[in-house]
Amino acid sequence: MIIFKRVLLLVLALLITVSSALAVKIEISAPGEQQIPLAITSFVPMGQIQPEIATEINAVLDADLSLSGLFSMVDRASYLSDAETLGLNSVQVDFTQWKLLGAEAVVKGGYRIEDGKLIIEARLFDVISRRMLTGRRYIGKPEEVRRIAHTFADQVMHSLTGEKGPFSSRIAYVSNRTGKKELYLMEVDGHAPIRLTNHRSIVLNPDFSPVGKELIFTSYKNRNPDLHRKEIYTGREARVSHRTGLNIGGRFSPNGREIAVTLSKDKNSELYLIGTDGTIHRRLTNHWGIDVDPSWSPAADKIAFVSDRRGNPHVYIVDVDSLEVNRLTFDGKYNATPAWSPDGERIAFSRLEDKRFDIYTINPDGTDERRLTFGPGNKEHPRWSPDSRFLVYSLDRDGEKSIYVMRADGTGNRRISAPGGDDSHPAWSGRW
Amino acid sequence: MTVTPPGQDDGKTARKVVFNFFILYNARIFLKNEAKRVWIFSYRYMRKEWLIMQKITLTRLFVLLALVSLLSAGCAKKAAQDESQMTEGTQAVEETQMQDQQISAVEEQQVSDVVAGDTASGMQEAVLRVRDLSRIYFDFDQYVLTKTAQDTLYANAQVLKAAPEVKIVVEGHCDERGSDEYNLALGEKRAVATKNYLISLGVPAEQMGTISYGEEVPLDMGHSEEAWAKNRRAEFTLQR
Amino acid sequence: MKLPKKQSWRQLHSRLEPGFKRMLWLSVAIHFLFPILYTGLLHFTPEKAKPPVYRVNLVNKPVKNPQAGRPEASPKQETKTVKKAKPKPVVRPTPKPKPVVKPKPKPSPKPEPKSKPVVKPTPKPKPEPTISKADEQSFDQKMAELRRQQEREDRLAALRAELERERRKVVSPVEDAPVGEITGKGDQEGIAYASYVKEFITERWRLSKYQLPSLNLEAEWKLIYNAQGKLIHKKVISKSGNKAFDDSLLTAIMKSQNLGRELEEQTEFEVTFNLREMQN
Repeated sequence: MIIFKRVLLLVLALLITVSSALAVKIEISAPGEQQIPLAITSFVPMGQIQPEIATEINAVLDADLSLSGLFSMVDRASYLSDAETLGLNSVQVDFTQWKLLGAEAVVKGGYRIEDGKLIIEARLFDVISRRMLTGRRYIGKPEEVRRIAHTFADQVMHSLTGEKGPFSSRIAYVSNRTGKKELYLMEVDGHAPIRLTNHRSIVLNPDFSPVGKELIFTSYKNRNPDLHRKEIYTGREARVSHRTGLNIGGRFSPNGREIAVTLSKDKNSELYLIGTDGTIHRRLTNHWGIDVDPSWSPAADKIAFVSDRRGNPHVYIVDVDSLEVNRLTFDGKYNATPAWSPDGERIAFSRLEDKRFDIYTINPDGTDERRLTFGPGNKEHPRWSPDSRFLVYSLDRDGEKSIYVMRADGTGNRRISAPGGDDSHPAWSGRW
Repeated sequence: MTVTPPGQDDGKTARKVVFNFFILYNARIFLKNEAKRVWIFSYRYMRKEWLIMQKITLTRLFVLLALVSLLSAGCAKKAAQDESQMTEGTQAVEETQMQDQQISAVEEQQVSDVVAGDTASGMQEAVLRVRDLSRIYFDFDQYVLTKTAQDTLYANAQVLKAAPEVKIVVEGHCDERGSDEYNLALGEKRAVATKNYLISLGVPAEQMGTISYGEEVPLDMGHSEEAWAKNRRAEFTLQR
Repeated sequence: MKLPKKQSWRQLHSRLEPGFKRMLWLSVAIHFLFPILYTGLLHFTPEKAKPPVYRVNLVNKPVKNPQAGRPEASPKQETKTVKKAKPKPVVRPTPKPKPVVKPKPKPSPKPEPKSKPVVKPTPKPKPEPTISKADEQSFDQKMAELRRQQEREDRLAALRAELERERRKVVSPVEDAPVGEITGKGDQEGIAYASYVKEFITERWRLSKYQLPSLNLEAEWKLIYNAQGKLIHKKVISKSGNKAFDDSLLTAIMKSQNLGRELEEQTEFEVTFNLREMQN
């Protein structure tokens, strides 16, 4: 019996090895299709017809979801009858129609106004598996249409990637539309810009606080480049650091309790750590060269900055505890404006090459440097979105400065600041 | 004692001599180390070669001298700065003393002038002269003062010293190229370099403040080399 | 330290003798050895076997019915027979029941329904007038004549087709070079099944790189297709750990359940999915 079992095992083993030897091995190293065909239908009125609400929702979703890079848009003109029917769950949707058009995902929804409140039902359906991927009901004020649409776009990204999109956040920037450089705030698609300051001098380089809704920035209001702060909703302003010389490039630490800043009070631009009340906690650099432009790592253990200690401006990294300085960039003759991504994976910076600035990203250990932007104009001041998937930057072309966003791989460049002024120094807020 | 004009030439050669001697001294040590290495590897030949070595040492010295003088002319930003501060600091001390004597002499004259004219208009004239102080220009990514800059500053120093009650602000500016933050720091360096030079020429430090505007306030809004050259400047404004 | 020259030289010389000469020869030997080693004069190079010559079909798109080069499968022949059949109903006004002739013209006009829809049915219902025997015999002869002509022309056409194929054949410098694939026996047309299946599944795999946190994902599946090209067994060997990636693979495999083409035999495939091609 034992022998029989052993023989059986042996035969089985042989069979397995033989059969696996006969298996044909194939390697597929890229998907054949890299975008999901998405159909965004006009939201259907569930009560009073207000076409402007539907068009707003549509415009916002179209812009946000095409920026995400996940989708290719199905031509609206080819939509069949199901596009006009209200389908709020998978039973109510005729998936065969969408399959015919080649769509694999469909956004449908409806809206109504009730007692002065705007109620929006939004759904994302998967055509192949015939089910709803995500659905939300939003209740808000009629003027909050765009905000609701941005929130749903974030939700769509979450259902397909596991992480919410950044479309509900804000971008702060500097613009000279009033004749002087002042601080402004706008949405991620460039809408609803509002002016925050009235210094009538020069305002530069804002940064958002990770904890509260406030900004720090440099201003020449008191005839010296001082570091100011402003609370966005209360409007309160105060000076954080007004020492002699420069008080520039203020950047909040990831926990919001400290600020890295460049002070030149000792007759040389050095990096310091100061508290939110302005007291100096620590001096980070001690070199006769220029040390400016700090950017925190998300773990708050290192700071990337620009120094010309070796003759030309390059990006260096200083360890906050040990104060050890290591060089990050070696190529090029002028590397500046570093920005550490919130997930800690990449550092974006701008490099002067052939008399033009372009944006590059690099690993924090100095490997895998990639160029992101091409074409005419100077692209500087890259800043990351809170989900580390997008970048906002300042483009200076033909004397006009404007603000652009793009995906973290350099594709999808589009302008978000309105024409007619010089807009620069963008900063991307955290989750709003 | 006559006040000699600040040594543009004399100071420079003196500096060079000091600097080169400094290098030479270190080079001697460097050479000696090399001699030690030769000794370790072929100590058997040392006695024979020592004479030959002595001859070679001299030629090496000359070669080093040539190299070093080339290098020091090219990019010793910091060294020049430090030195200028170092050597001119000492000069400043001398000259302020002389200046005091001068000022007292001038004051005496002014008293006689006051009888003839009005103090207010005298003050106004001083202010006007200060407002007309010429700008100085810099090379790209540099805060070192060029020869022309130094000459202009000499003239400016005279005006400033003649009107010590008029306070000014030295502004440092850059052209639009480059990172804004970096340019703010560079502008600061230009302003500070200018102020230090003026101090070395005898202008009291309390009379001057510095500020950097980076690339934010260009003189010429163009995007050509000429426009950029005009924007890389330090200029003087009245303190308010 | 300075001794008179001659004395110091002799002293040095004597001190050098013992090991110096040996070291000098060694140094010279090494100096000669290095260039020889570098230029490879001393290297042993075994005889290289002549590499085999393969003719490989570089077009990997799936070919459902690989019939290139087989003119008898092309539809052109049918039109020729139609043309030949046309004069027959004209010659034969009397619709004497000739079942042999009739089936021939019937299938051929079908691809050309526009021109000859009327002529065919009409001869049947017409009343049949009587024919003399002599006429019949001459008619039979004519029919045989025509049939022989037709056969001759068929043979000619076949020969011409053969000639064309021969002309188009690529002459290989190597005697028995395998054709079509590396593992081929030289008599197959079309492409290897592995490439076909790979292209088939890749076409149906849809995934956006923006859904993924990194491009370093890899998963393996075991798929067994039967001889008719249907998926009879699928099993995950290893998952990538990323839900979006794994879900997209399942969707791709579900879409690839029917290859639409026969395989030689039931084959098991081990498919590795990764994103190497996107990682540059």
